Amino acid sequence: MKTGWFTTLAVSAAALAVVAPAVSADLTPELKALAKAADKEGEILVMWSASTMGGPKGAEIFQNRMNKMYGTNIKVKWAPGPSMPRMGNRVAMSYTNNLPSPTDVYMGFSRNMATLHKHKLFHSAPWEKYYPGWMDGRVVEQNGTLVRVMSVTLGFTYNTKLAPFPPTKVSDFLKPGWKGKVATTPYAAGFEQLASKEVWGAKKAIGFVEGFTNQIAGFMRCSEHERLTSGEFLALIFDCSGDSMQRAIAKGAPLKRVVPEDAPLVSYFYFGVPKNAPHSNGGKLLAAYAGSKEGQRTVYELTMGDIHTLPGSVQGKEIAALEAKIGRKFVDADVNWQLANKEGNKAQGQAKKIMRKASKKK
Amino acid sequence: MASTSIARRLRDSDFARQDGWGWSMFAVVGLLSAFIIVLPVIVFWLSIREGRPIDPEAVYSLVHYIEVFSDSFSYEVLANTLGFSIVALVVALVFGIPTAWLAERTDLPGKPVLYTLMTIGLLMPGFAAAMGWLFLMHPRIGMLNIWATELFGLAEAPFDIATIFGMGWVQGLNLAPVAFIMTAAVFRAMDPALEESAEMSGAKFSTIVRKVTLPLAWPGILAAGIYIFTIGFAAFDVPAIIGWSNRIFTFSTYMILQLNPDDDLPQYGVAAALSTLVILLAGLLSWWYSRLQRQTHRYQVVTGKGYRPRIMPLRGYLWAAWGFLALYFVIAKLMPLLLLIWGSLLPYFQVPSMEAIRSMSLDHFRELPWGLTVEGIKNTAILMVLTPTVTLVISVAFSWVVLRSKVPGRSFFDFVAFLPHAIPNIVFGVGILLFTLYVVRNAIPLYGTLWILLIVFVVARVSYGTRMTNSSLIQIHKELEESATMSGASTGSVVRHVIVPLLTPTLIYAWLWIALLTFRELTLAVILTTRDNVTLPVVVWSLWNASGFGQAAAITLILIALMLPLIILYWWVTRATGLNQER
Repeated sequence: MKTGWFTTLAVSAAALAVVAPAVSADLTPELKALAKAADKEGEILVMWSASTMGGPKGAEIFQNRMNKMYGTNIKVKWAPGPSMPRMGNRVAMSYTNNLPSPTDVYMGFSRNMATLHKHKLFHSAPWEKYYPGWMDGRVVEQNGTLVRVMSVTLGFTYNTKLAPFPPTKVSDFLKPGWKGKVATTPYAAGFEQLASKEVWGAKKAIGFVEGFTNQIAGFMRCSEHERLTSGEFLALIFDCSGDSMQRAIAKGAPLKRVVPEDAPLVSYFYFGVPKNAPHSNGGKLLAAYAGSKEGQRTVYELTMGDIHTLPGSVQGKEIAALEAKIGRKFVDADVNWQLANKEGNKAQGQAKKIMRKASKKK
Repeated sequence: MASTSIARRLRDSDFARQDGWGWSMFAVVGLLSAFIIVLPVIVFWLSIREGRPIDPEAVYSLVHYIEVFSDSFSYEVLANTLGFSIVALVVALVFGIPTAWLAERTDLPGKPVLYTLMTIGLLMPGFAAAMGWLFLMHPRIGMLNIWATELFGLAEAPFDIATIFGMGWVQGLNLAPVAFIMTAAVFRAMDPALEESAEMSGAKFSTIVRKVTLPLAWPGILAAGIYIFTIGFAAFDVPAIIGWSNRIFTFSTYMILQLNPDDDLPQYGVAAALSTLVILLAGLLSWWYSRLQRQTHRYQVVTGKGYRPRIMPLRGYLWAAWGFLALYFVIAKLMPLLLLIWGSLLPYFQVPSMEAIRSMSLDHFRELPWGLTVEGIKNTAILMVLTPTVTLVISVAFSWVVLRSKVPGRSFFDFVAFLPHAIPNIVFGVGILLFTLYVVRNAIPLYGTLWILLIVFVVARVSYGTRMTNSSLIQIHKELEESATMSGASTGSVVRHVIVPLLTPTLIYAWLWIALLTFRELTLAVILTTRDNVTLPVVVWSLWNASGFGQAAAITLILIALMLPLIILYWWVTRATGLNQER
């Protein structure tokens, strides 16, 4: 047992040595200036769920590695936050009322970022000057206001012990065995993507939702893997990124995440630094770190996801393998795609209404 | 014209001759009264503003009311809330009335213990009980359901706590102590003459209860019923824990959803319209309540003669009585607590088995966000000290102005102090949120501070505080104060050296009670908390939402453990003063 721990520690230390160059001298002048300004602010407030980005432990890992990399002494303070859409609304509410943002970095999904787009909430920054040749269009979107943190495939997770049969397609959940046993998110995450013309189209997606409402037992957030593990619900459709599920699976939970053959789509999680963030330099530094080569390894370690378009990405290899298997390219759903997906966005609103009305008919 | 007349009456009255202390107390009472009235007025004002209320382009319109009334979901929420409140009321009365009757009208031994347990039972946070019941009767993971389906080979779980009935059941069990406390006083004050006459005429016990005891107690029971119904209507804890994830919304959870929706910015206008409708409903219920109070003389049987309530020997029914009480405590308090402990030790919720026992650990406790938890404890501790202290200082001032001063229209202040009792607290929460965001935002930056919580907690508790100080001050004869005044004492000296020392037992009792209620307060805190003023119950709520059962159960147990020393102190004080049996 002792040997096991020692090996783990040694491997972690070696990995850390590779991951973190620990030399602030290698930084560009712009990044050095940002690090200095962030260091002066002293702390970074982050708010997301306990199983998003590793929760409090993830925040601590970010803090330690970031400080080592940039030669700073910044405290990353985590607090449990509501769902991504709700958190986004909270940030927007604080901004429109001239109040300080509750978080220095807002983490949101492509769809949330598209919804918040009209409020022009986020700072832009010269990301490519921080990491030349790396933090370019593959990482940064919307005129430098959003930094991609990881790619997110549209998928679902189910309890392998209790499921009536192993589902492989979204349409499998219309089968009788799932009646009254599945959950979805209250904000109908992923349904706008399913309803896009590139995936199913609105008509087919709404038809699915009408049948699917009879199968729904309740609503849960994407991060609540415990509710699937315990058997409260047997499957979550869709599961946002499935990152918390993947982590639970790695710890031995009887769950399986599936990227359905009939809905191949990849979108992103982003970091945005609110214009009313109390520590905006700190927020930018954290976003810069998350998008950097080293930061991407940390993100993968915490979420089992990274930006699939970057060289060396683990998720990139997984997506390529899936594309080869189904013989179809994944739809790339960035914020611009979400903004243009009028058909899907409208269908999502309809889906929410249908599901809300039928929510208690078990 | 009217104001000139009031001013003249004020100038000519004895009150005008008050010293600085008198005027200070009047100022405190006047200011808080104005604030209590202003909050619902702001809520109403914002309910009829379209657009951002402070924007010059905002216009007056009924759009928010139209939105509320045109959405079929509003009616569903209303039906849910009514169903939930009615079930909660029935369950509370079913357990509360017989317990009160047993405590007041029978020879049941150990009554002080019963009183103490029922009073302390009120302090168990609603969200703790709700979590416990979810672990017990959830259709898929509920322990009872799993056992029942396995034992009897059932295809479906026999119980479902995630229904209006289930939620009402849990809320009713939580409110049974309120029904107990309110109806015990009715049974205590009942003249036994009519019951004795009925018995002498050969009526059976059940007939006496049905035809004499219950009709006599009816006004008191109805008053308790209205009060419990109002609490149920605005209850947040139980619907939030059990109903939210099953999309069963009641008024309070729907209101919170409007303040923090999934897919849009906060709908303050809709929340304000909903609040206004609830103020109207509360007004109607209060009017009905006061009518009942006025009619109680029809049922008055207390005469000038000395009398003792009729004590009924339980004889062979003693075990049945204890069985009934034990059943209540086991299902309402003990079982949810045990399930919380069990849930906090498991990686995910499971029924007891060797596998589950092997997987038990303290991981959920270890992995708690301790920095945030400590911050929550610190903020809660500050509020727990300041809220009762400020509330009672203000309550003494209210009581002095209402009962001792001669200021014209002083009974109006008593009415205002009673308002937070009549209007659901959540409305005051919404009111102060809108007040800080739109009225005093730039002048006094209250949003996100502990001060905003302190102010709303004080407003919410001032009804209780003034009821306590009023009832005690009435019992103190004016002669004592007059003697002090004749000896040259100022109003301040009279208050400090005469009134407060005589009120001390009541003040200690009320202080502890308010402190304990502040410690577990969730509804108001959820509306007004940001990350800078987070309280411990809000940390519980956040973890329930963001981290799942295990961590939420763990931190709830920590919260209960932290309450224990105060509960023990409260128990000791009530035993020493006997105050809990008098109220």
